[in-house]
Amino acid sequence: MTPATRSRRRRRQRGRRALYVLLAVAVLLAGLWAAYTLLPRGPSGAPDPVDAAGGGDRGGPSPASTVLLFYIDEEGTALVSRPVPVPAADTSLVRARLIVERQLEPPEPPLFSPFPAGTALRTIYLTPDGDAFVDLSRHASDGHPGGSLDELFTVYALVNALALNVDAIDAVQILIEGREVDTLTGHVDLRRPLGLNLNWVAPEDPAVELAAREGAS
Amino acid sequence: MGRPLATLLALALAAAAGAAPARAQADSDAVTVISPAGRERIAVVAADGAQMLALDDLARLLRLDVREDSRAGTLSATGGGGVLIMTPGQQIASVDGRLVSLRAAPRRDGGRWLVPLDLLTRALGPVSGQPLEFRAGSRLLLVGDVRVPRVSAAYRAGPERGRLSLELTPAAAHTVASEGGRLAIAFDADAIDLERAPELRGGLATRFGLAADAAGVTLDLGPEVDSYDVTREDGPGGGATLRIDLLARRAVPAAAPAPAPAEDPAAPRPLPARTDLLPEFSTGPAVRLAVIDPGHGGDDHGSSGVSGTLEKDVTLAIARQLRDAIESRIGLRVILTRERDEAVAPDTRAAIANNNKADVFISLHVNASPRPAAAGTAVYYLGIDEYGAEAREIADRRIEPVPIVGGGSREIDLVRWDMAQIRYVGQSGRLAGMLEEELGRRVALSPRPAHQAPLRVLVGANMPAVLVELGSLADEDEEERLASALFQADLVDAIVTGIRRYSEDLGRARQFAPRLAAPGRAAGAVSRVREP
Repeated sequence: MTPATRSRRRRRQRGRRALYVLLAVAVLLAGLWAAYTLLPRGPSGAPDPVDAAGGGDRGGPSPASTVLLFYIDEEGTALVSRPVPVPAADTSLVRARLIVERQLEPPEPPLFSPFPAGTALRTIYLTPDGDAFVDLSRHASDGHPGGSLDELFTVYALVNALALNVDAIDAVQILIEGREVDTLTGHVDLRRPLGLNLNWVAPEDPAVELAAREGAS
Repeated sequence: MGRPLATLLALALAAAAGAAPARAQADSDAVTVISPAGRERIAVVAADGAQMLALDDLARLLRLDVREDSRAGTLSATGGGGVLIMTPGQQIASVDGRLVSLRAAPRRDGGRWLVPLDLLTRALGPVSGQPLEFRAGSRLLLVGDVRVPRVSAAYRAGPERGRLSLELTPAAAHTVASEGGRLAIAFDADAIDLERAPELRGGLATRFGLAADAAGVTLDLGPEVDSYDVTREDGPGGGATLRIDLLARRAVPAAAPAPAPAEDPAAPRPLPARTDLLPEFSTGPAVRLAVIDPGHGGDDHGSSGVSGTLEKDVTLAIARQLRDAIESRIGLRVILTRERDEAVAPDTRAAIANNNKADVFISLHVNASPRPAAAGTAVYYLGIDEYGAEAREIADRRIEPVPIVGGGSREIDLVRWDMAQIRYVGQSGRLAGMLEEELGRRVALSPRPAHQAPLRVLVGANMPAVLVELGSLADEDEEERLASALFQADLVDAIVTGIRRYSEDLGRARQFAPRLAAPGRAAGAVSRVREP
C-alpha cells in the first residue's frame, strides 16, 4: 500500500467517526426532547412546578373570587366551609397555590384548623389528567395529633378545597417533604390521589349544595 | 483400674441424665377453679418453658373421660360437648375434627399426663359441654354457671376523707357492713375476680383485702374514721361503680349522710342479665379465626393523652383482653398482629390476617380529637369510591366457577394485593353495623359512629375488616375512662358480642345460600390475592 492510499483511508475513517458522533448527539437530543414533551409532570418529573402546570391547565386564568375553604367545626365533629377571597391568578397552578396557602392559615374562632401548626406548602404539581400533588412540610404529619377522624379532616379539607374550587383539579395526592407517603399518622390511605368527598362536611353546609349544583350541571 | 472405671460410669450416668427429657419442675403458681361445687386450686408446673396442668385434675373438675390409646399413640378426652384428641409430642390437638395449635405438646410426667395451659381456652370449652372461661390475668378458671364479677379497686386519700372506688363488671348486688373497725363489702356472687387492689399507706383506711369467702373485700378503718357513705352508679353496659367515702371525725359532710350503710335492704338491686360466661356456640361457627390488630406500636406511639397515656399501649392492652374473651367465650382462635410494643407495617398487619386465612380482621385505634363532643367510639370500614374505577369493577365482578381436577368446581378470583378488601366491603359494612350497635349499648358513641373511609390498614385484608376507634385520648375524661377496667370490659364485651352476632348471621346466610357469588357475598367464593 502506498503512503497516498494510507492517507486517504485515514481521512475516510476520521470522517466516519465524526458522522457517528454527530448521529449519537442527535439521538440524545431527540430523546431529551421526547422526554421533556411527552412524559407527564408528576412529583418526580416537574423541575419547576410553581411556574409550570405540565400542560394540564384546563382552567386557565381566573379572576379574583371567593372560594370555600374547610375547617373543623366548634364541636369537632365535622368540616364546615367558609367563604374566603382569593386574588386573580394567571394559571390553575397559581390559583391552587393561593388556595392551599389560605387553607393552611388558621381560621377565625370558634373554628379549628385541620392542619397542625407550622404546616407549610412546599410545592404543587398538576398533571393533564387533573391530579394535583400537594407537597406539604413535615409538620403536617409530625405535628398531627393522630386518630382516624382528625386525619380524615386534615386530608379532606385539603382535597375538597382544591377539587371544589379549581376546575383543573379532580383529585389530590398529599406528599410530605417531596415524598409519597402511606398515611399522615397511620390511618388514611394517601398512596393515590383522592377525589372530592363531602361525607366529612356538615350536611347543611353550602359546599354540599355547591357540589350538588356543579354535579348536576 | 477400679477408679477409672468408676469415673467412666459416673460420666455415663451424668450424660444419660443430661440426655433424658427435663423433668417438670413444680411451680408455686396455680389456677383457681371456681365452680358451683366451690373453689379449688390446681397446680401449674413449668416444663420445657411452657406452663402445664395435670390432665387428671382437669378431667376430674370438668368430668372428662380420659383414655390413652397406646396402639394409636393418642390421648383422648371426652366430655358432654365433644371429643379432644391429642398426640404426645405434637403441639396440635383435634377438637371434634377441628385442629387447634397448642403452645406445648402433651407430655408424661411420672404417672400423669401434663397438658399446656392454653388447652383451657383453645379446646376444653367446646369439649366439656359446659360454660368455661379462663381469665389469664387472675388465673381463674370459671366452670359452669358461676358468677364472678371482675372488680377493680382504687383508693384516693385526702386529709379529711378517703374514697374507695370499686368497679364491677358485670354488676352485682352488694351489702356493706361495719364491724369492729372493719368494713366488709360483700357481693351477690360466687366469688370476685380482684383485678386491681389499692396500696394503702395509713390514714383513714389502713388495709384492703379479699374477704375470707372470696366473694367480697374488706377495708380496715383507722381510728380517725367517723362515718362512711356508700353510693352506687350502674353503667349502661351492665357494670357498676361502688364508691365508699370515709369521713374523718373533724370532717363535716356537706349532705350530712347518715352514719350507717346507705343501702336499703328492702330494695335489692336486680341482678343484670349475664352474657359474659355463656358459651354462645361451641360447634360450627361461621367465623373460626379472628385477627385483632392493636394499632401503632414501637416508635409509632399513635395519639397520646394529657396524662401521658399512649394509643399504642391502650390498643395492645385491649387487644389482649379481647383475645382472652373471644377464645374463652366463643371458642374462636385469635391471632394478634403484634404481641408486644413493636412497629408493624400496615401491609404486614393485613398479611398476617391473609396468610392465616382469618375470617374477620379488626384493627383497634384510639382517636385524638381534643373536642369533647367528638369523643366516643366509632367503627370504620373501607370506602371504595376513593379507589377508582378498578375498585368498582372488582366489587361488581361476578366470580365464575372453574372446574378443578377430580371433579367439582371452585370459585377463584384474582384480585390485586392492595385491592383485596374491595370484594368484602359489603360484609365489612355488616360487621361494622353490628359492632356499632353493640358498642352503642354499652359505651358512648361518637357523633360519627360508622363510616366508610380509605383506611390504609384495611385495604389489603382479604376478609371482612373494620377499624374500631375505642375513644379519644385527647379528652381528659375519656382518657380516664379508657384506662378504667370497667370501660375496657364494656368495650371488650361489645366487640365479642358483635363478632358472635356476625358469625351467627354469616352461618345463617351460608345455610340458606351456600353458593352465593355476588359482590360482598356471604360465603362460598374463594378469593386469591395476586401481587401487583
